[in-house]
Amino acid sequence: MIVELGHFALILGFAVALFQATIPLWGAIRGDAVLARLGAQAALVHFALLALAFAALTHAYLVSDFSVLNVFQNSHSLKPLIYKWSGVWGNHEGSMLLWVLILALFGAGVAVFSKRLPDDMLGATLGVQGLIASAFCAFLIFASNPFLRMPNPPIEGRDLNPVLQDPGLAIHPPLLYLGYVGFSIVFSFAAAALVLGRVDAAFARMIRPWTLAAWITLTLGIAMGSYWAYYELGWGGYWFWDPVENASLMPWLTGTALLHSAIVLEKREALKTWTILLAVVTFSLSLLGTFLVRSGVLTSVHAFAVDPERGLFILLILIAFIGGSFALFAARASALQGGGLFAPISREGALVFNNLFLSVASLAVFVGTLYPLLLEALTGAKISVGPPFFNLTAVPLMVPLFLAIPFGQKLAWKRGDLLGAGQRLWTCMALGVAGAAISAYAAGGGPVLALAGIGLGIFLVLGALDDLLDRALRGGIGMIGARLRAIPQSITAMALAHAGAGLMVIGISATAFETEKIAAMKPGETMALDGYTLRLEGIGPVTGPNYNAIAAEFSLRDAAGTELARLRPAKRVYIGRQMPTSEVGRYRHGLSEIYLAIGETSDGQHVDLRAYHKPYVLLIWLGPLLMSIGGILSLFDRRLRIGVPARRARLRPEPAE
Amino acid sequence: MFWLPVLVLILVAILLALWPLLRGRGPVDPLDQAVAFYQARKVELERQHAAGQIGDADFEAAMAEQGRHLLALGRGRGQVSGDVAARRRRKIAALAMLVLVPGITLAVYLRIGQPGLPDLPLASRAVTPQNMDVASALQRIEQHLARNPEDGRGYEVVAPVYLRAGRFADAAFAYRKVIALLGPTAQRHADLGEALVAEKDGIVTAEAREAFEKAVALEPGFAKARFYLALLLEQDGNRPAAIEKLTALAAELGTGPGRMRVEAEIARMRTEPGGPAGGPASEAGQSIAALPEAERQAAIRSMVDQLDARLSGSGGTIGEWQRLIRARLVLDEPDKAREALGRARVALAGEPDSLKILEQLAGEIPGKAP
Repeated sequence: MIVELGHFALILGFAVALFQATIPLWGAIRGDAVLARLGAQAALVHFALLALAFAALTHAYLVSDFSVLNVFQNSHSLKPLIYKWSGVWGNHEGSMLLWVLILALFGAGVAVFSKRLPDDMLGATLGVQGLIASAFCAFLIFASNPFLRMPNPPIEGRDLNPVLQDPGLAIHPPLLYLGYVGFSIVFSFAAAALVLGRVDAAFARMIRPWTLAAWITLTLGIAMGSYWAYYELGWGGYWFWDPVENASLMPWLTGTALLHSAIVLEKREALKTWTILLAVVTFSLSLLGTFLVRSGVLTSVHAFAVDPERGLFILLILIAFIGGSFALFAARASALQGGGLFAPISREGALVFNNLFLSVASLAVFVGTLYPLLLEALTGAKISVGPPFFNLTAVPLMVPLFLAIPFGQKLAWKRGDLLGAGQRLWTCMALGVAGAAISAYAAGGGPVLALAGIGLGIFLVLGALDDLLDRALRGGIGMIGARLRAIPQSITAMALAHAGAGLMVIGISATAFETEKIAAMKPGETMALDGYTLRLEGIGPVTGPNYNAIAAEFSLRDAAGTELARLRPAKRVYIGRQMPTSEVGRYRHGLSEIYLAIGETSDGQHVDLRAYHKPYVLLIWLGPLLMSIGGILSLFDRRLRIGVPARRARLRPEPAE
Repeated sequence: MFWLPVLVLILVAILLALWPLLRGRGPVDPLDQAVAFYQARKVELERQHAAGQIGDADFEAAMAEQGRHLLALGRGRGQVSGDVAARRRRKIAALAMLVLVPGITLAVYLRIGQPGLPDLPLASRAVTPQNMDVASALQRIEQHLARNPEDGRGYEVVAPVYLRAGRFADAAFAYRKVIALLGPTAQRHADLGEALVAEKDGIVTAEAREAFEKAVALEPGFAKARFYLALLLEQDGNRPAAIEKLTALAAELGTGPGRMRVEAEIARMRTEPGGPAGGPASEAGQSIAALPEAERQAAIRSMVDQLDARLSGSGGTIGEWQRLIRARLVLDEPDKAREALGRARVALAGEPDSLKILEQLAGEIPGKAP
């Protein structure tokens, strides 16, 4: 009965979403506050119903109710408990239910924090959110229903793909979805603003927490996915420019641009149409990303033909929302009032620069990801756009952007002084160059680009921290403590996020200095790796709960001969699906890692070993982590933000809060 | 019992969704909150100014900006619409929630839902006897083995079940465990080899050969292992040696299914033109298997017709006749099968053993007895 109640709750939630999509929107357009406020109530009810449905499906997974087709196809009674939980979203139907649940969560969030929202804005926003929710509930119910039943179910299920049986992948999809779907509410706000014709500082203030929340989770989700690929796939890579990864990177790039342009809108009431456009584009890219991955278009264009009903449904939703929102934008954008003026050299100008480069980088990724698919769909020709394309387009676009960040932080609102900003940054730049030189000396030379990258990263980190230092010193040496405490949380947040970007640049550049060694080793043999010594102690079978593995045991010694660790890379074969996976052995020292992966061992006498020494590799993920911490700090800074304009007469530019 | 909670769910949802309508509230100017926002910004600026974070000149410029926004908002202020239209809109909203929402939900749910179907959690199922089929028994043993991975007897029980169920890799794994836990015997090694051969669609791999060789080493005369090692000879291209080994093996075996199997292989090797081991593993077989369905049927039929013509002309062994009759049955030609059976009876009239086999075959042919 629980299963059927869940199914019923899902359908009732769909009907409530239809209500939410029509009545409050109507009320908002007619200026009827009571009707508009109904949106908040409907959004809460909709969320509660979907939560009920999700709980019912989860319950079916936990008790292995194989009369539910979805549970039978993706679960197994012997699966460890955590994977019974994560198995709920480890498949198409369940993950779509989670998608819609998160959509409802954001709607409910707006409803709860709606006290200070104008009634009509609330009604229109939740109305648009209701439209999105109805479309996806319909897709879920009619084309991907997770509650379909089998009258005479088998006694055992088919198990979850072993690659997905990993704690990292248990939390990665929900995080990524929180990010993707979080931009839906920003989109709804933007559409509402277009409908009502009001885009101002108050609007930017409304969308700030939602944009930040979506951006933080998307950042964490992407970083976690990258980290998972690093330790689970056994190749030691962290980013493959794989279409699935690109699909999440595109909304991240435009979302980051949106985050910055919304600051300009809130503080200076400029960039109105641009901010709205970014909100629309970001969510469109999220939709595109979700469905490129979900519909299987990415692995093969022909996946649409495999399930025409599902593919067509997805296509219709995409066309309706992306086309509809752009049409609305075209019709209403001109009705928005122009915003504040600013000089090209100013904080606003720097943020426009940022937006420009982020958007073009996103466009480059978009072309590189979709052009091959389009070509294959139209002509049948298969071409592959690999890392070289992205390294030549998206990556060079990021370099001027990163270079400009510290300058932008120092420019004043409305009109700034580039020379004045530059003066303080000379020191940071010099330190960056020195850092690059020291790395070159320590590594005995190295690729010029990688050294330049390290210099750039150091410049970014120091430039970000210098801003804090600058503010702390403004009141004289004796006042440092007091000034530091007086620094608004949002300024610290900005410094941390930008420093995080710098750390990531250093980590990525440092991969050029990694050492890779490949050898076939017999027990007792040793291998030297950058001052460390690896000795193969033995090879043996290991029996896990639902897999068998061949593991090799290595001892790791430093130059002095002290044993540092025992590393056990392995090849696992999962019994249920006969799928091999690799387990790598890792030893962390500081921010660097020794990384071991073994190949097949057919005879049990020797192993094919790939060993890496990866200096500062952890910075690649610590950087984004720091960025998210910056985002969280900013999220909890609830003050109003007003960009105080710099006056023409001022000589000493100083970005004020 | 199912419809009661459903009713409660619908009622609660409607009540919660329409709550603001029940309370009622006067008309509000949509710009009120916007005005309050700019007022709040003024207060924030004053706070920052008082705290010494911004200078006098900056403060004045910023305050002036807020003032301009407030003025602009004031110009946009309109009249709030009247009561009559509002009341009509609220009636429509309430009606939509009361009628359309339950209506749509029930219409959709009754079409795709299964209101009568109870939950079937696994824990509640295993005890009922109608579920105790092979699959669930197997599952029980698997659970037991997962907890007691050192139970060799358990693996020995499930291994043949796996083999019959077509789970060859699992069967091979189970036999390996049996050998590791209970010690090697010729039988166990040969069974492991058989599972490995089945896993690879009849090809005797190096791994399988190793298993058979171990079996023969433990017990030189072990028939199953010798049989597969002979097949391996054929697979390696030495068909005469294979036939010789199999013939020797057949001579040692008493009558029974084992010997029949060996003789069928000998017969196949003698008649089949060229090529290595039987079925689609041969080159001709593979090219036939690659053909489209209709052409494949035609190709098979022509091969069977050739065999038929040869046997009618020059006669053949019981194995060959058997193959012909079986082939006719597979091709769904019971009449031709029956006719071939008649000719076989005549051709093999002097061999009582063969006649016995033919009588068994006759039982397999559907339709009227000849």
